[in-house]
Amino acid sequence: MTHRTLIRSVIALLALAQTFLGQQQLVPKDQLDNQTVLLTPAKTHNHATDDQIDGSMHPELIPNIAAYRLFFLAVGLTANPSAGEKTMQSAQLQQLGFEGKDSEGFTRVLQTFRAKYNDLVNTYNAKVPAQATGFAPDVDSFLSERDALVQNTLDELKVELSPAAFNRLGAYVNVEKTRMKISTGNQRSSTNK
Amino acid sequence: MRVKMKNTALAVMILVCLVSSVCLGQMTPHYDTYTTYALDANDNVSQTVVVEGYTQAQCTFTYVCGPNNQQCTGTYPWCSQPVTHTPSIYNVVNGIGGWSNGTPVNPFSYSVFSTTTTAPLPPAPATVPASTEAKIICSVVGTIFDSQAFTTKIGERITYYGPPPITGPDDSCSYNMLACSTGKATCKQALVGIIWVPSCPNYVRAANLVVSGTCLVSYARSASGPGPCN
Repeated sequence: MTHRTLIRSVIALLALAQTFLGQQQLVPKDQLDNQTVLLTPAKTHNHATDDQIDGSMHPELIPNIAAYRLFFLAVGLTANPSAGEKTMQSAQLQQLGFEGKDSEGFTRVLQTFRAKYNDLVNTYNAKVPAQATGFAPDVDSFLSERDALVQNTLDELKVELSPAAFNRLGAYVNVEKTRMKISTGNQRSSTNK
Repeated sequence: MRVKMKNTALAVMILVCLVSSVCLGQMTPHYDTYTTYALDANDNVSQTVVVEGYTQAQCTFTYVCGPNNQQCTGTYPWCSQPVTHTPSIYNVVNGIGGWSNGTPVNPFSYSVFSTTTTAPLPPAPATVPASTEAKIICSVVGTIFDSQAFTTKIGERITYYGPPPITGPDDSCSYNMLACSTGKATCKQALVGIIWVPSCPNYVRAANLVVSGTCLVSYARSASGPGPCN
């Protein structure tokens, strides 16, 4: 028997064994430490499933802080926005009924938000090793800082916008939750409670 | 001898991969997605898609080995080679747009990527198809996150409102009387966020964006009188 044949036989036998092993959830995820491998049923690319909240089904489960973050990211312009992004922001302002001071204040605050957000992400990513080594930066601290930035932006808007405009923003973002899908793993743990 | 060693190493790796169920590594994607629409005064629709988040991954795992069922530590094959994760968004309105890729980042990095596609809307009652999808693609194992393709129809519907306008305490105006010269109004929801300074006009024309049969957003401008609704 050649080595190749031998290896093929081993693969076939192990694949058969795997079929049976794959039917079992052996260890609950929350009882695992970093050094323990998850033995979950085989899925595409063997990735663990993530808990997703679909806003079209359960908008009430989308945390406000996540909804504002996604909305600010969609509407806040980057340093070099494309023509399409400018058109979109202008249309969003129109829809929100923001004119004059409200429009100027909203645009300015979101521009600052976007710049700070990019800085925050870049700072975090700079700590990530160039190659996957098993070392992961402190993602919980990053998520906390990220959400604090969103909250600060919201506080600034409360000052910048007229009360009516601020209320309209809240109502609008609430409706927008129906087109959001969020991962519970991408939320700060306190926002999920 | 050298070939034999290579084959043995391969067999061991395959054994580890199959027994551990995670040949390509244990990755848990944590990504949020959001699609939003905006309608401008020139009847152009903008469809914006955002995907952001990160992947949790671990490079090492333990498995039982040896005659005394010892715990051995292994390393996933992908951890010993350069890996990148690339955000990718499909954003198409009426044939305009397509796939766009963000910057490839390290697997543990936090990714933020968004695209906007703007396209003119045809006069009502015509609609145009719109599709979105967001993916995170790993350079080693392929797609690790997929928001799933979503296709819908987008259109514009016009509603005319007439007197009396109701002035709110903050200079906002609302209307509850339709002023359709012809046709029937598809969207009759309250107008959101419209401020008319210094006074509320008697007639307004509200353009509504309709996505998947639902009236989403509207903006309004003054009108001289009743007009055709659809």
